[in-house]
Amino acid sequence: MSRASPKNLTATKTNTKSTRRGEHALSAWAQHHRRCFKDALWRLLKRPISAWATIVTIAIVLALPGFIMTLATQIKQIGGMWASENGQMNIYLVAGAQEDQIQSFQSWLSHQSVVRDNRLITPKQGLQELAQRLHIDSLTDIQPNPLPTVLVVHLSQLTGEDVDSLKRQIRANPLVDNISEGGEWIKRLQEISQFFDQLSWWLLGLFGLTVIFVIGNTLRLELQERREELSLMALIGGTSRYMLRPLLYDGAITGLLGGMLASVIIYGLLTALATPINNLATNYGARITVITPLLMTALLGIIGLILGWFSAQIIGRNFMKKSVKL
Amino acid sequence: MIEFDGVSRRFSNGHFGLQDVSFHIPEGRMVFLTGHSGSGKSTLLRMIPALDHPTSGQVRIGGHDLQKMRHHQYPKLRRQIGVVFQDHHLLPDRRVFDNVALPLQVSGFGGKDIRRRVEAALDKVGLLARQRALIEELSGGEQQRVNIARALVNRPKILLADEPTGNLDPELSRDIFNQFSDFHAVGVTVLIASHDLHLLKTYAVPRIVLNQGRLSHIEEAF
Repeated sequence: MSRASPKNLTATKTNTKSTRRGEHALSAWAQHHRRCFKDALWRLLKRPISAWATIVTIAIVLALPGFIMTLATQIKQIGGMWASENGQMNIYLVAGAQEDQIQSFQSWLSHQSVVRDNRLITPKQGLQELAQRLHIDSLTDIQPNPLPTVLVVHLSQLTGEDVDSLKRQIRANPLVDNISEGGEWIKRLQEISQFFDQLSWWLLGLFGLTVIFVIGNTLRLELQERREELSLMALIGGTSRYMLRPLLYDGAITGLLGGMLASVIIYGLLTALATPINNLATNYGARITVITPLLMTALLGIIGLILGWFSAQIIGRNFMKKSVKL
Repeated sequence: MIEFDGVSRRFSNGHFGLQDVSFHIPEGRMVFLTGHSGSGKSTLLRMIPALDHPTSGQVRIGGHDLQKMRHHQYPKLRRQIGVVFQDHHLLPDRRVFDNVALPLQVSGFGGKDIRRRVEAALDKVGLLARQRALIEELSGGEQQRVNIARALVNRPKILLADEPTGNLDPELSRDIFNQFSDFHAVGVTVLIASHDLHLLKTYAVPRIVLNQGRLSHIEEAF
């Protein structure tokens, strides 16, 4: 074994002062981040079953509010589509309304500011449309035709004082038997979508807490295993921030992967349900568009990452306060 | 450099680990801390890097009163103190190099500095050729030398050793002690807790003797 002479040691000590520590401090910090990142990935690979059990749990927990949020967005989109394109009101005219009366009523309607267009459906046309939709040709033979004359009015807006005033005037017209207001229906749809929107945020908050606990529990087990290492680090001058860093990477990466997997689950569910939903929506002139997977993956990934990081902060600081002499 | 002034440590069960202990070790001295098992040697050593705190009295390191130090200042203090344990406290899943590099990484040294310093430290303890070996591949004596290299790689001002030769044969013990002497020779303050009679008889080093938590006597004036 070689033994250094005191002289040599003194010389080495002098060199310390000439070390450009300031220049290297940043690179050392970056190096530690790189190492923490690599180690976190390595730990995931080293314990794939326990790590992926946590990731899948997070994914399922995040997928539910994510799915509801996506549905709420779709409902809102359909409502918006109907509101802008199909926001219509059906005016049922009294039996025996004269053609010139109907034409003058149509002309009055077309001069109203909130009316985009209007279309006349005679009882005969109505019966033909119904027979076509129900695939019963013999319907057109029904005598006398029970359907009323209908004016389909498309509105440029669904609510507001102008719309209410128009409705009052239409109802007051002796030519009008009844009206069906599509706007009210769309309003209800929008209220439903708002409810789902709010529900999804509440669920996200609640399930976000669950994610914090799930990740926290996994990290707590890991901390127990690394207790000696952390004590040693504290002894040789490791700051709590330095010791927490690997844990933060573990939590953030676990949360990120959980969030990304959640988006895959949601995308899968939406794709599976897209056909029946679209069939239904097409009947009302709308179409479901599944949110871009990349955007959803990024969004849920970031949520997972933040929750994982936050969980690691809480669990790590608490553990070190109780178990490591800082 | 190390100053204890009427220091007592009473544990939660009412037992005293230390009772009214006072001494002063000037900078650059090498001192043995001795006494029977349970005499308070480890408790005293743990107070120097602020791993434990007195219930009364004052501990001053390099003129700084530890009681007045804030928590966030402890890491800086500990980087100036090297500690060698009897049971090594090495990370078994890492290589010799990584174990020795740990204090430098914690202190924020860059990769090149770490390599240079770790290799120098391993060379000093005669383990440069084994830097890639896993800890579990080393003998007890080699592990203790890794422990010493890790304690000294950061060039501390104070070196504490808790029974550093406890599990080693006399020849290895002498070897380890010689290493401590080398560092003492360049101005490092060395405090070695030991009840290794052979070691204590062989070297004429001042010693603080503890008995049941109390300072029994100090042999040789420093």
